[in-house]
Amino acid sequence: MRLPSESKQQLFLKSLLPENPVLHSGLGVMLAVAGTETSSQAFFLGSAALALILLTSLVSALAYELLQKRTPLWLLVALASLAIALGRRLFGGRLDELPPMTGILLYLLAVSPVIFARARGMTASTTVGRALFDAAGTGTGLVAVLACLGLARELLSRGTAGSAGPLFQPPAPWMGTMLGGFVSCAAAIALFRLARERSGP
Amino acid sequence: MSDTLLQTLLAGFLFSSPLFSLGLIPGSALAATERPAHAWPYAVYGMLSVLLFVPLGWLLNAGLARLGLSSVDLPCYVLLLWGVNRALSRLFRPRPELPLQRPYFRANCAVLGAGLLAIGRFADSLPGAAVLAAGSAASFFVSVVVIAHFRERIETRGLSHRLAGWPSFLLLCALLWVAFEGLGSLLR
Repeated sequence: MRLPSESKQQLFLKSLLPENPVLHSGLGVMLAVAGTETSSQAFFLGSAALALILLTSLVSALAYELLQKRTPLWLLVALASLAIALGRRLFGGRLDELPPMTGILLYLLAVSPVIFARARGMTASTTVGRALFDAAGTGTGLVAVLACLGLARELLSRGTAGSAGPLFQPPAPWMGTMLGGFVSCAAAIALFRLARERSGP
Repeated sequence: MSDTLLQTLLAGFLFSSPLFSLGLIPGSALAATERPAHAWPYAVYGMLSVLLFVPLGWLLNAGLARLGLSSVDLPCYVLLLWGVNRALSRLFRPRPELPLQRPYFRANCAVLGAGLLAIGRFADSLPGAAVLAAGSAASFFVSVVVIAHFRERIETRGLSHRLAGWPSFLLLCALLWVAFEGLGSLLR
């Protein structure tokens, strides 16, 4: 819930943590489970999602400010899919270094609700600046959760952290499988709820 | 059916489930699996979407490759997915309890992901892609129904509220993954 009285910084911080897209709303669970096999994969997909969230929010907010109309979802999806196709041409070589499902997951961003939720929910009642801060908070929150999950899974399953070579014998190689994705994501959401309860209303 | 196609069907069922094998979980899956009564139409909807999308997507992919337009394949897939959604929404309109008209309440991530995987693995064979997709579609159906059944049982019997919703859904997916991997290891 966003209030008109909230400042841009408050919007950013609210989207970043208390109303984090993955931990609070469950948006982007697909990325948190399937796109966090390694920290570099998580960071790549998170960055792509952040760029798309900013793009769709900017277009949606501009359209509302100039035309006083909500941008239809199909137009935002078409825009996102064109942006991903362009991004794939530019950064396609990078995909070879990442786990095999990364290319498919990148394509799936074009139909992921986490990309369009803020653009559809925020822009009808606010300015371009506020919409961008809200989108930046949502995107940064998504990147942060994906990066943390990716790093944890990579450390436990491979004993590595990004480009840092083997640091220790991996204690839980199964964390590199889809099982690790489910368990780590479920644990993150449960811990988030516990932390919110402890911190009070 | 030849042995190869049967093996592909089994591989699709056991190892290419969009939900628990690939982790392609649509946001709509949580609400759809709250009650088994809602899960059935959602499972059928997702299954039919995969079955329709894959052969059409394969033909689209082949056409785009022939025209040298493979770099814009994603917008074309998305357009095709929109058409499949429209067609199936008309079919499911008599069920008002299932809010399929809401744009997010669709299995798009799972359908597109399963379709891209099948097309990618069988780029030169439509039957192979369609059979793998049939296995994935059946697996999607089974997983949605099983998860809904168990969620209703565990969430109404004193499960901690911290584990209700997404955590219980994901942990059930984890259990299904273990079960199907175990079954698959016997057949490998």
